[in-house]
Amino acid sequence: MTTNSSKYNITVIGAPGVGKSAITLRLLYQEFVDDYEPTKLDSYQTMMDYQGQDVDVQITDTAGQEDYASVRDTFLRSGEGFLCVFSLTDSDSYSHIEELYNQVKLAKSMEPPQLPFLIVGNKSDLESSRQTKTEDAQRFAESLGVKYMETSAKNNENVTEAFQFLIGMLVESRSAETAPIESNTGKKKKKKNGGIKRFLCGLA
Amino acid sequence: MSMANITTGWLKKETHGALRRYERRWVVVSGNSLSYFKKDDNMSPSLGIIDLPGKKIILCADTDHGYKFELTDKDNSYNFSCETKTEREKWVDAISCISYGPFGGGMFGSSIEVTVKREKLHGGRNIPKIISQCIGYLDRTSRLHENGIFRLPGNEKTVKQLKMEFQEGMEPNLEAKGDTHTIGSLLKLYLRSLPDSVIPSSLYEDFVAIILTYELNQKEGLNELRYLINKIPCSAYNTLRRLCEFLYKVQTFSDLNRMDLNNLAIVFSPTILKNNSGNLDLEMRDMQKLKRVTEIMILNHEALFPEDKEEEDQEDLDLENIDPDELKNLYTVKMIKYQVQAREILTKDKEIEKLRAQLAQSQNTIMEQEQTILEQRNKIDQLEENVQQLQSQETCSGSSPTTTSPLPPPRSSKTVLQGGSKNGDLSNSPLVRRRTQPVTRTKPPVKPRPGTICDP
Repeated sequence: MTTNSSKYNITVIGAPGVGKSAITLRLLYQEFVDDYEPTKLDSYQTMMDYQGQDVDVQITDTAGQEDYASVRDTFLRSGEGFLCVFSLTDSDSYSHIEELYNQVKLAKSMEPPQLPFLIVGNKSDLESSRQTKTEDAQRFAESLGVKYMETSAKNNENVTEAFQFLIGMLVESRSAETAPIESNTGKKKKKKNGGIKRFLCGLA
Repeated sequence: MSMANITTGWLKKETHGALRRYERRWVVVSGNSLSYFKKDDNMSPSLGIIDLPGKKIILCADTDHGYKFELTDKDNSYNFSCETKTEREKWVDAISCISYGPFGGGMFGSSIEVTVKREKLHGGRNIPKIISQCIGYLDRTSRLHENGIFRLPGNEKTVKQLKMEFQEGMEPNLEAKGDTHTIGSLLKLYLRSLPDSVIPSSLYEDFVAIILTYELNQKEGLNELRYLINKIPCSAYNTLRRLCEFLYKVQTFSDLNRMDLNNLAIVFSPTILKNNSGNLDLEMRDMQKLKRVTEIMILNHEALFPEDKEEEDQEDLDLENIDPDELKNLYTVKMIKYQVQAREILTKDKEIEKLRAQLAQSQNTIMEQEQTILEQRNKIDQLEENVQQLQSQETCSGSSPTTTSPLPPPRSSKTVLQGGSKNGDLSNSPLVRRRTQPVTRTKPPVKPRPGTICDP
């Protein structure tokens, strides 16, 4: 099957300082990196387990800064699954979700439930300074037709689960896609991934 | 959008008359006006032209029929409708910098140079007011200590509202409405809205290339960088200077605000130097270098930006859009400037005159001295001649012709030829060979006979 060998891309988006990199690095290195450097753009390759199968995953960690919007927008188009992060301790980052959601919808010309999009409220360990209620975020996600999870990169809560959820959506949608016309779609995906690779080589 | 830029696209415009409805129009915002057409072929005549300066822009409540905005003044009102919110933002940005520009606003989307020129008419300084106000707001101990200053965004709604108020020329009260992150975001939003980045994108390649030089030789890199920075237009230069100076201060508190030099440079570099080629590969390739240049500029701001630059002239001010009071104001300012300059020129002229007189005097002295030298020389010559005369008399009487060696005749000496050189015998005397005319003429003058050696 081609499904095993081809890569899945997950793009992590969200307002600045919500913990996009912290979540990504927690998943990859099993540790909490308390580094305050704003991300420009980082990309990682990893293997993840999905229902007993090893899948190749590429994770693109984007900049929250508007100053890097042009670069980020390109990755909205080339990304497949979107982990959309806000901080539970920053209501401004929560109100930014809707705009991001609309941007992704526009860039992918896709809507839920087909659109692999997950809203993540991070920093659940800082319960005392929480600004967004779980029920509110839950209701809001439902209104968009997407899933909602709360994570803590610091305490390693729900991080793997969040990525697993998106991988699940991607694997499902691709196997559904590849079934009827296998060769065509396979080619298409390969081309897309090649494009990202090229960008990242340039970065290094 | 600057004045020179053109914004075009399809919009729905409400028709006038009894039956009001929205019709699709090709809209062109250029210069000071908005024109609309039935087709986008640039051939058909425009259906109408709206003069933009002085128009107010009102955003209408969102409806299912699109995102609307209204252009109004005392007499007229025009309604437009866009398909998306983003599209409406684009149009409102393009129009508002023209319509509010002459009235103390319109800085979002206008170039720094234009904004500073406009503001100087109303007592503005060397950099846009919005920059000095935002930095003024943030430059307090408690705000400088704020975690993630310039990284974390403020409240989006407040940022937008403040932008709108600035744009309409209202001078909002930041103390009442802002907080550290909101004002930080506003400052960055303003910088991003410029038609060209603070460092003109035409200098992009040069600034990026500096890093190579800098890594090899810091001093040389800094020199080159200073040279490049000097190419930045005056007001943009002053703005960048102020910004780097302030960011330097911000990073000194990095143990509290966590925004060290590296972090600030990451956040600001893509905004202060944009690459307009639209080539994303290039942008990503250069990200790290751009960040380095920004770091170097912040760190060495004192050496790289020694002082504010002064505006040279205000010729390209958009005269057509200034109201008479402003024009009068500008006229007075210019008159004073010219009077001062005229006075300076007069003083300098006088100095030049004085110097000229001094020069003439010293030239005279030199001439006189040369004259004296000449006279002295003549005297010396005369004395020499006298000496020779005496010597020749001595030789003629004392030495025998046999002592003269058979040297070849001299090549050019009238004296010698005259002195009977047919045989060449005469010329052998050392005295005759010299230019001692009086000797040869007076002594053996008129008829030199062959064979004779000497007269006496």
